[in-house]
Amino acid sequence: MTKLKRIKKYLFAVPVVLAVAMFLSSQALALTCKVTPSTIPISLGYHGTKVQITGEGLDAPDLIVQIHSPPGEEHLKYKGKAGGIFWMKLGTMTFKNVPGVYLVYSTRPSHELLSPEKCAELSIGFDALRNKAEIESNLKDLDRDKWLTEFMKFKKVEHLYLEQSGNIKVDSANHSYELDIDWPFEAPPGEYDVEVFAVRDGNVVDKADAKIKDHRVGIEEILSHMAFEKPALYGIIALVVAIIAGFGVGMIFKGGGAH
Amino acid sequence: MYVYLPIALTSVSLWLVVGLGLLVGLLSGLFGVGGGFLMTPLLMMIGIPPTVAAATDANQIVAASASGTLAHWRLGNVDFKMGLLLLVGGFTGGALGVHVIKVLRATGGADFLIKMTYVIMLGVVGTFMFFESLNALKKQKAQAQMSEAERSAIQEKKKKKASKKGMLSSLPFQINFEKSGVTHSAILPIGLGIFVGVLAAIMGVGGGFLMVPVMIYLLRMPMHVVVGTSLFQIMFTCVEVTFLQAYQNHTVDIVLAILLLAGSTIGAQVGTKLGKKLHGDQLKILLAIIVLGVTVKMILGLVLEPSLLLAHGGGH
Repeated sequence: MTKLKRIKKYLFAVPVVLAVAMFLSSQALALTCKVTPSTIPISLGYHGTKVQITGEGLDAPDLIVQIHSPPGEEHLKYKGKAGGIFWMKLGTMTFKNVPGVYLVYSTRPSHELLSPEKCAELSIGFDALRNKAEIESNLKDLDRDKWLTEFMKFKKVEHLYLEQSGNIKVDSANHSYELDIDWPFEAPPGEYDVEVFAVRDGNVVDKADAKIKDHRVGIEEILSHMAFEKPALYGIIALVVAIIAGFGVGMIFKGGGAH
Repeated sequence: MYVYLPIALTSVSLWLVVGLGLLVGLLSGLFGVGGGFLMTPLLMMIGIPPTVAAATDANQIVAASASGTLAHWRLGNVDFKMGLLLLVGGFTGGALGVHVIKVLRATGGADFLIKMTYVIMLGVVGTFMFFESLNALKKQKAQAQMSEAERSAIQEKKKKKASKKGMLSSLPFQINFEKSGVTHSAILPIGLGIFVGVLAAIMGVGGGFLMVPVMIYLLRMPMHVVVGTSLFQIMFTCVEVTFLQAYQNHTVDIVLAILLLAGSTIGAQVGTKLGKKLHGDQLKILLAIIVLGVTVKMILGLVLEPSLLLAHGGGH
C-alpha cells in the first residue's frame, strides 16, 4: 500500500520529465545556420569572396539553401526588331516582385526534392519565383513566359541568379552540413537573407535562417557617399583629378625631352 | 589585380582598364578624337553599366585631351581662335541636341534615331575620309613622277581654286586664322560647331570624329592643326559633360576614370609623337579604317539577333 502511494507520489513528475526530454531532444536536433563571414567588406581591391554556410542539427537527408535580396522591381530595356530589320532597344520592361540576387543551392535538383506545389507554397526555387513575378511593359501581346525566361537568362549572365546542386556536404553521422560558395562581386551592397530547408520524403521538416551583409568600407564608402550627397564637389574633384593628371603627364613627357 | 568601382558597382581588372585607356589615348593623340565612340562600347563589354560608361568616359577624355592639347600646343598645333569659335557653336548645339532628345524620348523613337544617326554619320564620315585620303595618296605618288613644270602648273591651279570662295567669302565677320592659314567668317565655325554639337548630343558622344572631318574638309585647316584644335575643343566639351553627369545623374565613377586616364594620358602623348612621324593622309586613312570598323560592328549588332533580349537602360 505504502509502495503504491509512493509511486503515485512521483507519477505527476512523469509528464514533466517526458516534456523536458522531448524539449532537449528537439533542441539537440534543431537545424542551425551560420554564415562566415556574415559581413562582407567591399574595399578597393574587392573581387567577390568565399562564403561558408554551416550548420548542425540536421535530421534529414537533403538540404536546400537559398540566398536572396528582398523582392523588388527591376527596370530593363527590351530588344526587338524595329521596322522588321534592326535589332534595338524598343522600350522599358519592369519586372515586379523579383529579388535582385537569388542563389539556390541544394543536395539534389530541387524538383527532385519537393513537388512544384510545395515549392510554390514555401517560395523555394526558380519556378516559385516565376509564379510570383509580374511584368509591366508597353509591349503589345506580351508573352509572359518568354520574357521571364529572358529575365532569368539576363540575371544568370550577370551572376546574380544561380541554381546549383550537389555541392552541399552533408555529414549524416554528425547531423551537420557545409556549403562553400563564391559570393559574386556583382551583388550590390545590401542585406541578404539566407534560408536553409531540411527536406525528407518530399517535405520540409526543418528550417533555419541567417543574414549576409555586404557593405562598402574606406575609400569606397567615402566616394559613394560623396557622389550622391555632394555631387557638385564630387564632379569638381573628378575634373580637377583629370586635368592635373592630363597636364601632369604632359609635363613628365616634356621632362623626358623626347621631342 | 582587381579594383572595385564604387559607382559602377562592379570589379574590374586593373591592367585591362589601364590598357583600354592606353589604346584610346593613343587614338586621341594620333587623330584628335576623344575616343568616346570607341571607349563607351568597350567599357560596356567589360560589364560597366551603360550610363556609368558614357559619363566616366567623358571624365577620362578631359585628362586625355588635356594631355594631348598640351603636347600639341608645344608643337604649335592649336588654333585657339578657331577652337573657341567652334566651342561656342558646340555648346549651343549641345544644349539644342539635349532638348531634341528630351522631346523624342517623350514621344518615343529616340533610340531608333540615336542608332540610325550613329550608323549613318560614322558610315558617311568613314567612307568619305577613306576614299579622299586614298586619292590624295595616289596623287602624291603620281606627282612624285611628274616633272617640275607640271607640278608648278598644278600648284598654280590649286591656288586659283582656293581663292574662289564664292558665297562664304561674302559673309560678314571675316577673321584671319593665322595658325591654320585660312580666312573665314566667324559665322562658319560657329555654325559648324552648332551642327556637330547637335549631332554629338543626339549620339551621346564628344563629337571629335565629326569635328575632325568638318575642320579638314569644310574649314580647310591643315591636318596637324586640326588634331590639336580638336583636342582643345573636346577638353572643354567633356568638362561640361562630366560635371553635369556627376551633378545630375551621379554616374561618374572616379575610380574607373583614374584607371582609364592613367593609360589614356600616356597614350595621348605617345600618339602625338607617333602622329608626327606619319603623313597627314596616312593618319586620315587610319582613322577612316577605325571609323568604318566601328560602323560595320554596329551594323552587325543591328542585323544579328542578340544573345540577350533584355538590357540595362542608357548607352548606345
